[in-house]
Amino acid sequence: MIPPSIRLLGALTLAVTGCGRTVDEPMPPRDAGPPAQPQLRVYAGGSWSCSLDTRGATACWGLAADDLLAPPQEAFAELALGTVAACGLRSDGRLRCWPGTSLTDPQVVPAKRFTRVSLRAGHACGVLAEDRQVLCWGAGDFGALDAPHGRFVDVAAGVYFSCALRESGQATCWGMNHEGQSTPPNGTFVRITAGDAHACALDADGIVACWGSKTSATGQRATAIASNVGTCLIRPDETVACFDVSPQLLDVPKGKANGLAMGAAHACVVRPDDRIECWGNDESGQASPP
Amino acid sequence: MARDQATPAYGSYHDLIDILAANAKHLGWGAGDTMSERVRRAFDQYGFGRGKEVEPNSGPQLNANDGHMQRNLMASGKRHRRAISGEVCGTDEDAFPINERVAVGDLVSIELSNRDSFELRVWQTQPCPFDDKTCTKQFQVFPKPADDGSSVDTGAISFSFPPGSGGASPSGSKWRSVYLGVRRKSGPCTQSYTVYVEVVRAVGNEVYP
Repeated sequence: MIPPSIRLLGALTLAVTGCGRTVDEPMPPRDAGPPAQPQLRVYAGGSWSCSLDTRGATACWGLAADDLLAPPQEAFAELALGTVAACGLRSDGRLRCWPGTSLTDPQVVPAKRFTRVSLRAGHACGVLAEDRQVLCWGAGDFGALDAPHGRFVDVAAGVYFSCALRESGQATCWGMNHEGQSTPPNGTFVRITAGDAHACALDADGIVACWGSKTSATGQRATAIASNVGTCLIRPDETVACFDVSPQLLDVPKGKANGLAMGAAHACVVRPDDRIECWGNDESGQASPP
Repeated sequence: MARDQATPAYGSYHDLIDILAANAKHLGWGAGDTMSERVRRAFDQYGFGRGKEVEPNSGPQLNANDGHMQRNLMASGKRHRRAISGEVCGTDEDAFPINERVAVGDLVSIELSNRDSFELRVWQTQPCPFDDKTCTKQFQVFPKPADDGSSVDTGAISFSFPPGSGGASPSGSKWRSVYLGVRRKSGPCTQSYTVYVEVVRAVGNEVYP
């Protein structure tokens, strides 16, 4: 079981199983130790961001497009944001994606139940609830859709590649590998994220391992990680740090956080008082939550 | 014409693309241009595209494939998109016409595999050599150029096609042809990039002539 204190609210990855559960399983009792679950969760895509409250209501800001920033009026358990598309996972495991793109067209999105889903760079992958296989759809450049067989607990889509965690905790990746992003190290991990040309995973001891083009976060202790252009993480003391990012993103605002998301050039955190704070590129208002 | 050996499944289409694109001439996507529209639809339906930009680079001149930029036409339709890989060196810049025209409010998203070493630009109407700041100021829509026409890589990879008129904004006809530029900002010349463009239509922009 993944410790409840280890959460992955990373960019692009929809993590329904904040404590390793499926959407159909009840959350186990929480220990007294871990910090309280935030009332808000935050997600980020290319140049936009969304929040999700405990009622499942979604609010989005950033990249100006009416249909992108107007998610379906449904209650979602989790979200996954891509660059210009998103999917919401309903409590029954079904996906509802928006706006209308080749990746989110109802004719294309599998009508199956998922426990996780992640989308990026024209493709999406999800972990099926029924047999824990990874199923991918969208553009298959460089083998980005060629998920291996097996039973998985987590998946993360990067740029022309994807990674997933087997039930054993082993990481496996497929697709583009010019920077070694599809060659994960050995280890037993509980969460995984994918960026432009790198991926990171968090092991059960809260140690980060990254591979591919951006590996500076390797060896850091964390309770949550998010990857995109680089990697940001929440340390055990609830402070945030970013690695392999622009000076603008490296200038992380001080304070504690219990939620984290990373876009193409911005990042957002949820503060203990459930306030969302973002920094980095704000050209499209992606770093200016309502 | 050099062939793209990396994508043999599409290799047989390249001559067809060349013929179609050459017939469409400059692929300026002139309004009402029947051939341009047929090429656009074909790229959308079948995902045509080279897969690889193979021409040698030529110093400070914009790489327009010796006047045959149509060979770099990139599929970015709703049904099919086509990623293109390339290498660019020195002060050169690879340029790609996009098969989809864009209108105000449409979202344009670019996924670039190697953002550390390469940067990208998007123009409307025509591509600009990177050192022509007057052209950049007039036609570049992303990233938004500075007042002096200089372009700064902001790290962002998506934008909403801007409204307004004049300067770097669409004017006149609703639909604008769009070009993508990729150039090296660091790293050795042997590094490669892979890029694709996605256009998400704003409400009301789903259909055009």
